[in-house]
Amino acid sequence: MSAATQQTVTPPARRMPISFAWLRGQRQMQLGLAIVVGVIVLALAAPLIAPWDPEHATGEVLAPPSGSHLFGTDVSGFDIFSRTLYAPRVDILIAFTSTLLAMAAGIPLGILAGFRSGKVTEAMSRGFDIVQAFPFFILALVLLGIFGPSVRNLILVVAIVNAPIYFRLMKSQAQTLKGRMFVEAARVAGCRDRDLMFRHILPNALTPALAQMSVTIAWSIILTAGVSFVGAGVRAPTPEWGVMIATGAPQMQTGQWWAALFPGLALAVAVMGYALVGNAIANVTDPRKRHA
Amino acid sequence: MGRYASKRIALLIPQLLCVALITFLLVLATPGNPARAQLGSQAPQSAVDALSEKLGLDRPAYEQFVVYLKNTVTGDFGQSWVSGNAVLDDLVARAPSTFELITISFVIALALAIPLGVMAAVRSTGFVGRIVDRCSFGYGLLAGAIPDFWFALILIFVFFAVLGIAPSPIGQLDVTVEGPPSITGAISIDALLTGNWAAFWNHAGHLVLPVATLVFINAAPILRMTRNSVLENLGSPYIRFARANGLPKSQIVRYALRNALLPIVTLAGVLYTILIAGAVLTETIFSWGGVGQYAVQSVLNADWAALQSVVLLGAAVSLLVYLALDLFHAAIDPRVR
Repeated sequence: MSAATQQTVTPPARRMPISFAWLRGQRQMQLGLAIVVGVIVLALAAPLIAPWDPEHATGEVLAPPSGSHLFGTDVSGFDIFSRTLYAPRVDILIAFTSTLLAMAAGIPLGILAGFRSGKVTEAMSRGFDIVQAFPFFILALVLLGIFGPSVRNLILVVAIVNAPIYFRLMKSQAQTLKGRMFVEAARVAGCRDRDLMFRHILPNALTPALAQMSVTIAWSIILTAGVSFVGAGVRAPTPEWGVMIATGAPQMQTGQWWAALFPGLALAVAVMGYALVGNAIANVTDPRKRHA
Repeated sequence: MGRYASKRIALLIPQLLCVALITFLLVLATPGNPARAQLGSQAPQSAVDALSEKLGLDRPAYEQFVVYLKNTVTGDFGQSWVSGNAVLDDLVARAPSTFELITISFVIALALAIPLGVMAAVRSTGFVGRIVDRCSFGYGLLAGAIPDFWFALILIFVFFAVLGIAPSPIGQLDVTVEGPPSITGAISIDALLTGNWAAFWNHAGHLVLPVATLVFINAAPILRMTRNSVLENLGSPYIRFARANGLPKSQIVRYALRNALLPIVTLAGVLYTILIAGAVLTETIFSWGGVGQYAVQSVLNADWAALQSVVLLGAAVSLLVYLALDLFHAAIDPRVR
């Protein structure tokens, strides 16, 4: 393998006061984190900032952006600015929890499949391969069609679609790591398989999964908005970016651009934040990608 | 090569069986009795029982699976209770439009992204190189963050609502234009075959915005991969050797590109399967009337037979693409065999 994997690993020194020194010079990380934190703070503080109730019809239908409605109103008379602020409460919640679920399922199974080779793990790998053969968006649609559209089901479905990525990553990591000296040493010292896998291999294999996490969150947001856009995910009047874009979609043909434009912009900025963070993590952890 | 190919092709059979099993289980997991759903809530119980028996719903699951397999292999995909047609007929009517849309987008995305990626790799140093790099990075970030359905709406707003140069984003032809008789089902090909130029140009106009959407969103990873892959090869010892020998630059780039092509082809194959999924939303927005829109309607109407077949078709096409990729890899890289 590459020279980078040959380096000795020194345990990071524990510094008690939280230091932000690692952020210095990391422009992508700075911008990405600013967006990620900013969106979460705005969503949490939405009741304080939003001028209108996000699910209250104001009576002004399709009003263009103005002082009282910064982003205008949609066909139902909802204030788009307020709804855009509230939307990440659903979108980010789904993206975050589904990503954590996908990791919780994919990582241990992947380590197991990479560490042990047998009929069970082989079947597992093939199973995840087959799941990946389904076009993800159609699979998500179908699962939602069957289980019914609700936030809980959306979380489960997005997790199912994402789990194979972590499985594959961890499997290949475990396959490379299990032959390494430190694992051999632990084995010779009498370590049980379970501890080999989860105390020795797992911590060393985790980096690519963590870099992937941000990427998965990013496109889980897009996926959630996509299925909600066609009406198979979150339903109106819940404020959610995909639903809001769908509400404003017909007016894009007649010229009232604000109802679909603003939620889409907000979504793109949020996704970009997670993409930047993921990219920065990948750059830091993988020297080959430093210029990518 | 022959042995590898036959082994790889043989693998397709268990793969397809697994896919069929999953689509079968998915529909088995649906709540409610399919026979009741097909007949409506007003139908008498005796009719539901009769249909259940006819569909084999009263038999154990594994027997149902065998029946399902047998039906699928013989082309009997069941009946859509929404359209009232056999699902196979619905699919045959819609699939060509979808493949037309996907394939055109695929070809244009590659035709733009690969040369641009090579250019970006060749011009990777100095001031110009930095700007090119920034642009390709920024474009990649943007294309990855913007949802395709939203981008399509922006295009509709700008080019249809404001500028008025794009045709109405509904369907594949203006309502006033008479379509060509269906030969292949893809309007562009049928119009060409019958020499119906009016329909051809009208259809081409309708293709512009959906294709632009799919290309803008999906060309970015290819561009990035081409740039990185060519760049990596340009720095490799064999290129340095070629350079030291004084070969002209164009020839060197050609050498680098040939070796860089492998990961690009892999990504291109993956891109095609991604476009299958990406077409769902784009078709819905432009009322394209293809398989993607059919899938959405089936989900919203709980039309399980239709849905089951769409999923099966999507997965089967993906598996075939992966098969083609593996064979291609084996053909050009002997280590894979």
